Amino acid sequence: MVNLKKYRLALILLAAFILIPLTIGNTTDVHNVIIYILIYAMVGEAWNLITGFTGQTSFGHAAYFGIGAYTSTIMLQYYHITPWIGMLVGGLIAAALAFVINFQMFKLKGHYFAIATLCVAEILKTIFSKWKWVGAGDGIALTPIVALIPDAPKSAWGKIAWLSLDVRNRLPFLFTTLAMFVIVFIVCAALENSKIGFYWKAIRESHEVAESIGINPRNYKLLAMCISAFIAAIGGTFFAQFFKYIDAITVFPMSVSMIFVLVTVLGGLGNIYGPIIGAVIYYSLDLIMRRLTGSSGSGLDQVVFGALIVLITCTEPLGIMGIVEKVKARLLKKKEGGKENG
Amino acid sequence: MIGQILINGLLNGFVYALVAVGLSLTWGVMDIVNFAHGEFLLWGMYAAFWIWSLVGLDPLISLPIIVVLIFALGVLTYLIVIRRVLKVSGLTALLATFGLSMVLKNLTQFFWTANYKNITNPLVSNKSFKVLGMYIRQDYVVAAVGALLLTMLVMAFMNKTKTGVAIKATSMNKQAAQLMGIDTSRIYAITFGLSGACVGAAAALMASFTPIYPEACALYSTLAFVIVALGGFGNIKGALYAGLIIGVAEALGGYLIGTSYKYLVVFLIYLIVIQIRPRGLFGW
Repeated sequence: MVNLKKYRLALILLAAFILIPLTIGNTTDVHNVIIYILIYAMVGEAWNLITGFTGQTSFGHAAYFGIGAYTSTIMLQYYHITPWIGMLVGGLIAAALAFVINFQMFKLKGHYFAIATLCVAEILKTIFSKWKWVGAGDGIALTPIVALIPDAPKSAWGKIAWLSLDVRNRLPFLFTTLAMFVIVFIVCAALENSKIGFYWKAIRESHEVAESIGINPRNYKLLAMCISAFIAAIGGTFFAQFFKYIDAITVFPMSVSMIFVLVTVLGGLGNIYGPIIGAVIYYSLDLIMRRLTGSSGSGLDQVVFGALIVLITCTEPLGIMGIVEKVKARLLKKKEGGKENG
Repeated sequence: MIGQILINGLLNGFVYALVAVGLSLTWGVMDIVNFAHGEFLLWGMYAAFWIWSLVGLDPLISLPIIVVLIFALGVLTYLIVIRRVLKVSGLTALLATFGLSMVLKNLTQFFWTANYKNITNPLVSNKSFKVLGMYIRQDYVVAAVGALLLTMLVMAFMNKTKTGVAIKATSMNKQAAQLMGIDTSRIYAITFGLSGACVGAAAALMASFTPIYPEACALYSTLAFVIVALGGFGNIKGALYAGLIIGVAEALGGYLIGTSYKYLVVFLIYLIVIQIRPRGLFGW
């Protein structure tokens, strides 16, 4: 049997994500924030694989995110194929692209690699903002799934499958996103504890040592990047379905790549819980700040928000999970101390 | 026609280079990715604007004041924020500077709205003069020459003064530098200040012909990242040459392929060059 105690935090989070939107947070505003949290945490997990576990900083994950968003949207709009298939195709294209691009790129180290990933995303941004077939500068506005294919939702199951990716039914969409995040989380957790995960960490700690014990760093880095790109593309599909409109400026810019970096580092880099905790903190703060200042557009909410990020990083440089680990260690110490005394 | 484009790109390139030299200092020496670099530039431009509009001093004359102000901003950034995140992974420092960039950018919007601000009737007008059949704008020339002089000044500072050599030593090996009696914390503070001074100067040089608004500097910081990596980390000469290459590439790409594709050319150049020289053009 799976050791439930080990996954206590995960279960608490899952319960919160199921209960909050049904009870105290049963407003569209909160639902939107939760969907954002789940989508960005999903891609954050993907980014964590390559940067947190394997140690190769990517500043360009928006590239794969955008590929996923565009692929599924085009398949839906032009060929009337469900986004469920679209996201898999998008994932495969993103993974293939990651393989082709990074086959050569992985000989670069550190910042040179990070800037190269940034360049790839920026190049894709320029191409997609000029490419007529994908809407060029106007982008693509998604028509509701039901309006697109009138006879698709014939059977009940077909209906559910189609509708759960239609954001007009906000709660089903939220739970679909949650389910996808849970799958991604389990896959990442399994990868972390597999042989591959240990190889990745070996490469992160020392390239040379990893090589000397017979790991081929490039192959394992490529594997991490391809899996990461696949997941990022799935996140992109959910984003497109949620946002109902995509263009190159919304899905490919550096600011999007940075969101994945930020939520993960805020939560805890190289920690499986990092992205989700970071995303929760990031977007809850964002929501609270917007409510407090009434989003007057003065920028004051962003000032306070930025200052909070600086404050958190300065007081707890290891991210929120750093605090959690510290508290855990202290509790454990107390427990052991108590045992000795008793 | 090609000559005209080359000269325009080259003039732009000198300013890019000065911004990149500033970034190269913090990134190369301290291994800190300063995401607030563009916002330092922004605050430099706003400083130039307000000194011009309140006191009536042209940015070119108030340049030393702006340099000192942004130098102070850099030192303060180090003392308040960076110092606390030096010991952990570089990505945490990145997060801290990202938060800082949000604060700095949105403060300008909060204080002075998102509207464009322009400096009118600058000391050097935007009139062109003709050399060898090419039209060259006066203010661009002044900015480029100023940027080149200041870049050379920074280079001289790094090579000739004791502090400069100490900065270099710290960048090569922090422990060894400490053992040699270098106060590395002070060196870091100075490096951050110097980085600010570079963008402060760049801001003063550009302020008279660039519209000033909160998003004005986003492009400059992205380009500065690419330029620094293209030149090789911690290499000031590399940043200068890479800045010129990027400036010319951008202008040529804009002319030959189309204005909307000019940055595509810039990023492609980086990806190609880095395949041949994995540590940048002048990296070792």
